[in-house]
Amino acid sequence: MNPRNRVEQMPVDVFGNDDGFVLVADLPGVRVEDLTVELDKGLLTVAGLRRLGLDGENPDTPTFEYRRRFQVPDEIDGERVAARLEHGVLTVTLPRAEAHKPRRIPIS
Amino acid sequence: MLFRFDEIDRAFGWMNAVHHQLDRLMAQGGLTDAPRAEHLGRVSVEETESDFWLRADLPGVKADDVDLQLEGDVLTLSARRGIDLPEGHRVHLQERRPFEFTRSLKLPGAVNADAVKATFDAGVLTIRLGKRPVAQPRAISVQVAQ
Repeated sequence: MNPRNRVEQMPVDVFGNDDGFVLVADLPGVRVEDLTVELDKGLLTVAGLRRLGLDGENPDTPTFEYRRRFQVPDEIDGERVAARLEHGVLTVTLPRAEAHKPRRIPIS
Repeated sequence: MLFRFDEIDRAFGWMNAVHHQLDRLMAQGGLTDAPRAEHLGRVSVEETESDFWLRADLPGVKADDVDLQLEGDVLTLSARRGIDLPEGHRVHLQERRPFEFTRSLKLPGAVNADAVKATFDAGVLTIRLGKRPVAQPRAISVQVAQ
């Protein structure tokens, strides 16, 4: 079996507040250059190639892919989505567009 | 084919957890094709001619929270991580787990304690343990006393 065809789903946390959402994913063995985070038409795709080899550079190294897709609400401001990968953990922040934030309406 | 294993998660937004799970079950159909990776304590041991290689998935673990001990041919690995819930947030999906574990592994052969090297990269701990050369039978010349 070609290990590149193997897909695993990584465990994910999603938190939200009025400012937007935070997605956290465990991606051990995935380096920045092997990671894709894409937001297209309300679909957030996170895909990362796992390197398993002893030296990580051997072309014969078996690898598999972590992949998951999430439907995100329309009110996310795509321009301000940011991602950070640290110690095998990906954090994606998805801010809500200002126009969609709840606001207190002053009563006169 | 490319998206065969994909499910579209609706963890964001308005759906509650029950809806989310129902949704996932319906989308997946067969659960066996795409197992959710269980990282906790996933450890592999490989052997080359000169070394044993041990790899452990420890995403989100700080180097200070990893402890390694080698005693004879038993390697003991301890690691822990906490999960920080961002303040003032609602939880839409929580699959990542905090852990704290100690595992002792008996290596398949003797190792040279001076040739052990550990690296921690992208949340994966890799330990290289040099094998101790097997004692070769050696001919000892006997000098006959005059």
